[in-house]
Amino acid sequence: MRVYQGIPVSPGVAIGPASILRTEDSLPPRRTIPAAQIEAEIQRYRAATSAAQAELGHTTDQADLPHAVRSIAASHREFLNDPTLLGEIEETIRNGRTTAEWAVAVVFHKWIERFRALKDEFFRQRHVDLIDLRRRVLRRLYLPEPGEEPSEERPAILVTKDLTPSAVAELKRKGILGLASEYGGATSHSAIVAKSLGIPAVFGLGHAVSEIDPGARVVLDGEQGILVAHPDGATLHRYKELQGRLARRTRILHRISQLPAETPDGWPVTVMGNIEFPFEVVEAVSNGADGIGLYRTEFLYAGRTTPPAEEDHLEAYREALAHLRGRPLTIRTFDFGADKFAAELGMPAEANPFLGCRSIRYSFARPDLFRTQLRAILRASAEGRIDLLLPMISSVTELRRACALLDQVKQELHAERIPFNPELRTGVMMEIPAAAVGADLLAREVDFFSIGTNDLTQYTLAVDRTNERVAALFRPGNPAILRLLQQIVREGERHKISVSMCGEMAAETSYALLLLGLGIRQFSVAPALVPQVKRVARGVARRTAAAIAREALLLSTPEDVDAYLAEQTSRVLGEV
Amino acid sequence: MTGVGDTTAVEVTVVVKNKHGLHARPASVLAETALKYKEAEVSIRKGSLVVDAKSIMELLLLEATCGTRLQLVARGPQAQEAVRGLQALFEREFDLTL
Repeated sequence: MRVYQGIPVSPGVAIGPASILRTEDSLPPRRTIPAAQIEAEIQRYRAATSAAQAELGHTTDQADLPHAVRSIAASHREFLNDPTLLGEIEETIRNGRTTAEWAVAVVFHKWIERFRALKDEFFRQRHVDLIDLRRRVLRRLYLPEPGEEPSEERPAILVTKDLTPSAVAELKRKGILGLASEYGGATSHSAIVAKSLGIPAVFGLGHAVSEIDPGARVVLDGEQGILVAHPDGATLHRYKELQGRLARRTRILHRISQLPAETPDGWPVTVMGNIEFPFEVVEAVSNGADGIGLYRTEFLYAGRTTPPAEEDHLEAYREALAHLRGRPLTIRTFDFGADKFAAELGMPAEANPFLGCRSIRYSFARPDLFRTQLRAILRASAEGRIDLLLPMISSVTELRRACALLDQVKQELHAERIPFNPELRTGVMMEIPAAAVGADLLAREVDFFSIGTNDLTQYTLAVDRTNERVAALFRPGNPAILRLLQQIVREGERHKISVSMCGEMAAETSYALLLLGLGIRQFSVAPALVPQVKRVARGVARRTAAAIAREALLLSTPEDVDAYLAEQTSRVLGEV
Repeated sequence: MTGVGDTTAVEVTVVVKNKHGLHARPASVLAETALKYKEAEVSIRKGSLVVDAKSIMELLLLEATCGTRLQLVARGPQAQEAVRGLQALFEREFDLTL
């Protein structure tokens, strides 16, 4: 049994045979095979070259392909017939007792180098043909044997070197129990797509991937980011139990997700999704989201070198609206800076990026970008239910400045006879302590608040949660945070504006209960968590939650608050 | 590359007449033809470099551009036949219309 630690990307437990998918550019490790396997390995190699020749023959036979393409394919076929090449590969397998992949790689490498050393340009260029041919043969060798590819009949855990986002998206979902990859991180685009497939995924396993044999039994723990090869009896038993528990939980949550989030004492709660890309709306909606409470539009910058044009914005907003089918969409204007897209935008390095020219401040500094976005949001507002959310507002002055710009853009559009919703609702992110403390001032001038609990907690407690030295101090249950939340909700109620929250605080069931108790009725969370929050809403009477929140507010330390909430949560909601 | 068989070697000098030299197409015609002479080992020599005429890849290593003189060497029962046949190929520029 071998246990490997990787990066958790998508939760869940998968148990099954490993199906190794290698890309043709990765060079195989040298592996020795037992003497008894030599003939079989040679057969594998011959089968791979036959298949490659058949592929090439197919190309040469296609009359409508350009002559050049066909003749290249023809010459590649002949290379594959070359007795010297074939002889050397077979000899390497036989005498070196290596795998076919390695023999192919090493012999081709030798020939590629020989050609590269030739003086005549024309003849030297043949090394490129050999590189291509090596890729083709390796690809045939790397394909899982028929019967080893994941399928509905033989589901398997796919193990691979790297997953490009399009490869992940194209994977046949039937039969893939989980994904394990050598490269990749938790927030890469591939990770986002893998998560949306709803199967356990672990990336960043490193060279561990090359140590796993095809067909080996493997356990994938997506929550902990662990891959276990050849699990022993005890480990297997433990994971099977966990799998059962998780499956039950998923069934319960799925049932709940399709129901409205209303408390037992009749208090309606809205649970929406936070997204970064329009395609994530699909997952949110299928998980029962009532809409999108936060669309982080800075991700329009992902993979771009130039700023998105108005039409690019509009296309994205329209796509989100299309998937939402009438449900509301809250678009937050660009929240650049600090950890987000600073490099792409050429933002100068600052000594304190979290306290610097980021987010709305950057938008004011770049009116070209800001106006383009405002125009697109206004235009989209004519086509669906859209709310505008301004990030990182720290004073009424900033709010008014943004609104003045918005008015100007409205006038422009009006003059151009482009339709928009003149009643577009505008709200502010409550994430800077100044906004929370002065909530009464902002409440008078906006249509809604959206509490960004992550940043609110960081700024209020003066803790960088990505700094391991102080990360333990990041406690949303800190009594000071509770008081700020209470204040925000109170001012919202007093001024009759809606107060929602969009940070990650509600990901914790006990905090979701607390927020409900504090009077928050609109939640926006990661799409996968929508059912969980609905479960809290459906499982706790508002009266009960309010009483718990009142008690929590009397406690003096974060630890006391967390302990109290944990106890109350399991009392009221039970174990799931 | 060249094996031990009937030690009587038949040699002849040939010239590459093709405009683009002995590149992939002519090399493949040459190798394919040479392979037909199963009872002969055929090699081609250019200076100190000796290659197996039945291997396209080795033939390409000759970098035999137009005008290059090569030694065609055959051994074995079919040696004479092989040399005649392959020499004729060189003469006919490998039947390629280029």
